[in-house]
Amino acid sequence: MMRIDSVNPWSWYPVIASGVLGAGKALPVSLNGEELVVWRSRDGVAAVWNNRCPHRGMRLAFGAVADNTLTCAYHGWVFENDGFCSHIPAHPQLKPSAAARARVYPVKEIHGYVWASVGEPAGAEPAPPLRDGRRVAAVRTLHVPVKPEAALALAMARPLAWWTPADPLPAGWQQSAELEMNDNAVTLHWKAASQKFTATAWLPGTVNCTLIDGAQSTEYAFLMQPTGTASAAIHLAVAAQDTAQRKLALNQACVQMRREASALASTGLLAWLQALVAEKRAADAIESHAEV
Amino acid sequence: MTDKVLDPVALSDWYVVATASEIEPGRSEQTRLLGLDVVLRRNTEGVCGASLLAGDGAERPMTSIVERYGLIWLCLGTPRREIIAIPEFDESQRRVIRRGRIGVATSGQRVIENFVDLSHFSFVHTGTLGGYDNAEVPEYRVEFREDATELWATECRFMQPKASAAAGAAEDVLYDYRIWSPYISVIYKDSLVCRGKKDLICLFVQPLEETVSVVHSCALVHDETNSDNHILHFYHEIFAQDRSVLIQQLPKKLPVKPRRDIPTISDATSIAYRRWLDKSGLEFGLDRSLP
Ligand code: FES
Ligand SMILES: [Fe+2]
Repeated sequence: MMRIDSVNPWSWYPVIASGVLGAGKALPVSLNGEELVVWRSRDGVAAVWNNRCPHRGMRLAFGAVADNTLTCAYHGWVFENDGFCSHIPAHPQLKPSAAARARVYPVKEIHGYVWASVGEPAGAEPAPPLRDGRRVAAVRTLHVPVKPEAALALAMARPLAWWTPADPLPAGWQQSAELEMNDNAVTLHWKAASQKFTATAWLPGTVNCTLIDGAQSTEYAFLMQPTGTASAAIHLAVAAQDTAQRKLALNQACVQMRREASALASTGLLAWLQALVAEKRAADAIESHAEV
Repeated sequence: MTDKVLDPVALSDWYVVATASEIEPGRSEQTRLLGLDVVLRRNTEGVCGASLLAGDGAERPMTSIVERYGLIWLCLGTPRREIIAIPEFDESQRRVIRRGRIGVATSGQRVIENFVDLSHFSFVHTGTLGGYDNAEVPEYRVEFREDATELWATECRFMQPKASAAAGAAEDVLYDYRIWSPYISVIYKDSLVCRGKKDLICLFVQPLEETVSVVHSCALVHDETNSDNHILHFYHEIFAQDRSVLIQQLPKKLPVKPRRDIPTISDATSIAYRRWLDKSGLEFGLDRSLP
């Protein structure tokens, strides 16, 4: 059963671009409604934990990284990379109990991002942002105040181009787009004289887009991070070999898209995409009946 | 919130809702207590009354209102006991420094638990009440007094770089903590000016909502040299530091069931406080879910 649904706890989601998380940094992030802390040891190892100290609930993102440990800001408990507390300053001689452990989530750092899962991740590691496996560069992260599903629809239905910050396609192009579906992907196709746009959503959360306009073309990936029930982060990644100017222009187009996000969501963009999916599903059902 | 208002344990206790001098004759003030609107009104004869404000604007007069220690005390139900006795307020050798009211967006129980906690001194009040090099918390005693209506932590001892506005050098300071109610606590702390005497720091939390509190506080200190402003500044700095951690604790309501948090030896007061709250039957401001 296929649904446009990017909230799947059994999956890897990017929580931060690797470059933003320097050694010795601890930052708060959210995933599927959970408050998390993502931090990097001096040795460069990234960890994702629940943002709550097991001692007395202090947000761990306010903690300090020293060497390869995270120290809670409230009573100075020291936590190792595996989440276990190794030192309680109030009792320097005491060996902390094994229960004194931060809640640790599965984490993978690959393809330019730190990925986490709040459940048991479905695969051993996250798929590459561009499906052909080319190396990517993280361009920007957008926080949008809409449901994660609406953010996914937004990523599919609002093309970005390095030659303009506005929607590069004619107004209302979505109405004449075609939808194609297979087991784990939904694809939007749109074509006119010299323009061609394809957006493929690899469920639950990666969107690959290709836009051709005459001699110009662009390609990028949107990576969904469902942060809450009505909020999402969208990470924009492009092929690492793209020029700096194009990255900058796409960054600006992305900011423009962010301005339009709430308005686009309220125009029924998500409803429209979901209707397309439902229609497609019904048509497929008729076809398979005909075959019988 | 409405069902919490029926919390009989919360309703039968006393709370500080204002500093008496803040409400002048002929003036009134609106505030909140336990999620309810309250109007405090002082008549021209100087008597302060209180009434509960209903949704339609009707006022229901409250009878259990008392002025004591320069504070206005209110109980919204039938008081189950007398207001806390703090005889030091009537003694003349200490200065009474009123710290006014400070809002904190968390439960009052979080505020009290932090107030009676020694092990954060070195990390939250570095350089005044503690230091990184002296973070060890020596063992202390926890006991119930007054028929188990009060919780005390005594013989608490901590090496403090600057224990008060009047403190000169770092000293090993002795503390007694007295928790009189879920929302009221007093510290008795060695005076560094008058040896053998105690300074008092009183914390009276007014729970506006389950997770919104106003802290009224007084310090009764032996100090002949510092100005009121100087002493106030010292305490405000300390409280601002406490506030910065209090608003970052999750959840805001205090968890009371075992194993929701992982305590250690120095948390003996916190463990006893949480158990005591759990047994009291209080609901307001507490997170009673299991681990
Ligand atoms: S809350 Fe983290 S060390 Fe106490
Ligand atoms: Fe403190």
